[in-house]
Amino acid sequence: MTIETFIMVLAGVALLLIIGIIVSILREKSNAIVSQQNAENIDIDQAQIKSNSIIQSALKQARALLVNAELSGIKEVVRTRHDSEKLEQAYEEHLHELVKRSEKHLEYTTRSIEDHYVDLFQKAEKQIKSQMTDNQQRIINELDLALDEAHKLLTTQTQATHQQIERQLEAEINDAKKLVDGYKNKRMEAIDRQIGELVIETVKRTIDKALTPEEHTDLVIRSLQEAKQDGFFT
Amino acid sequence: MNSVPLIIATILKYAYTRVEAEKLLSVFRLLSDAYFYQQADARMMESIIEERFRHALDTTYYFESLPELIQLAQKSSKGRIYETIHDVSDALELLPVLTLYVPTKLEHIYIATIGTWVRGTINEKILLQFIISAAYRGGCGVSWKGIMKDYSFNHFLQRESRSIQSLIQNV
Repeated sequence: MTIETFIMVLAGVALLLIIGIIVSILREKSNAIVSQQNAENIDIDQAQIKSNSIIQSALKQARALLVNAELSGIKEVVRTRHDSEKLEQAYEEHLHELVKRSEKHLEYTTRSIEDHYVDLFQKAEKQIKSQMTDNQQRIINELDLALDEAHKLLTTQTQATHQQIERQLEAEINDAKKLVDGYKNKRMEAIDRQIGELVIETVKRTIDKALTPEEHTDLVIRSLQEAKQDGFFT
Repeated sequence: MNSVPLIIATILKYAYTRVEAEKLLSVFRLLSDAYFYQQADARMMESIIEERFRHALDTTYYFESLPELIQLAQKSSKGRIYETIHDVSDALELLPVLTLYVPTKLEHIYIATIGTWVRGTINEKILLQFIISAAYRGGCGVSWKGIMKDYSFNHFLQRESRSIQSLIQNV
């Protein structure tokens, strides 16, 4: 559609709008007049006839304009359709060619990608294998180192523990020895005391049984002598 | 004539303990009674005492003292005899007493040995008092002027305890 056709369509539409507006205004006016001046029916009829004629002529003009516009539009559409078919044909050809090229390019690209990825996978496989071997060796080395460290640590720890246990055992043995010695001494003292008491008791009983009255008398005098020496009688 | 000191001296000559002295004083009373109220002669007085203490134990010193006690009774005044006996009893009460705790009863002969030593060493007019107690074996406990001390075997044990203990340990 050309600009001129477009302008003509617009002008037609505008004219129809203007006519519509005018008709509505006139109808309102006529209604007002009808309601207010029932008595002036004759003038109104004339005015209505006049307005109808105006409307009729305006509608005619409008139709004429629309017909012209439609004709112009149809012409334009026909012309445009003719151009479009050509363009469509060219486009289809071009598109067909483009699709072919795209297919070729896609095929090439797919193949390239496939090759690239196969190559990449092969490289990656090699690298992974190599990495795995390296890692295995590294892990083995690390494990060896760790085992050596652990062995050293264990040896040191065992020696330290052994020494500590020896010290503790020695201390405990000494304590136990002291305890036993103390107990032994106490028991020996108690036994000695008991022996002493037994000896004394035995001596006392023996004194009672074995001493003669003369010996008793001598012992009493001996006691009195001891008391005198102590100054007991002064 | 005051016969009290003579009677006391005679009693102390044969008696070494308060009990013995009291017994001799009772013998003197019997002799005096026999002499003054039964008109007994010396022989009769001895017979009375023999009869009286025939079953008593350890009475040798009674009879040893009889001749002197009979003489003292005969020399006494009849009217003052009980007063004299009373005075002697009072005088005996005033004599110093040494109490000895011994483990066994001692006969007079041993008491005399101890008494002789005591009177020769401490006081010539001392009277002994014996208390029997098994706690004072191997010697005696001594009480003098209100103070008592153990001089029995315990005393010697305490004094020698260290050497005894050492001896026991070295056995």
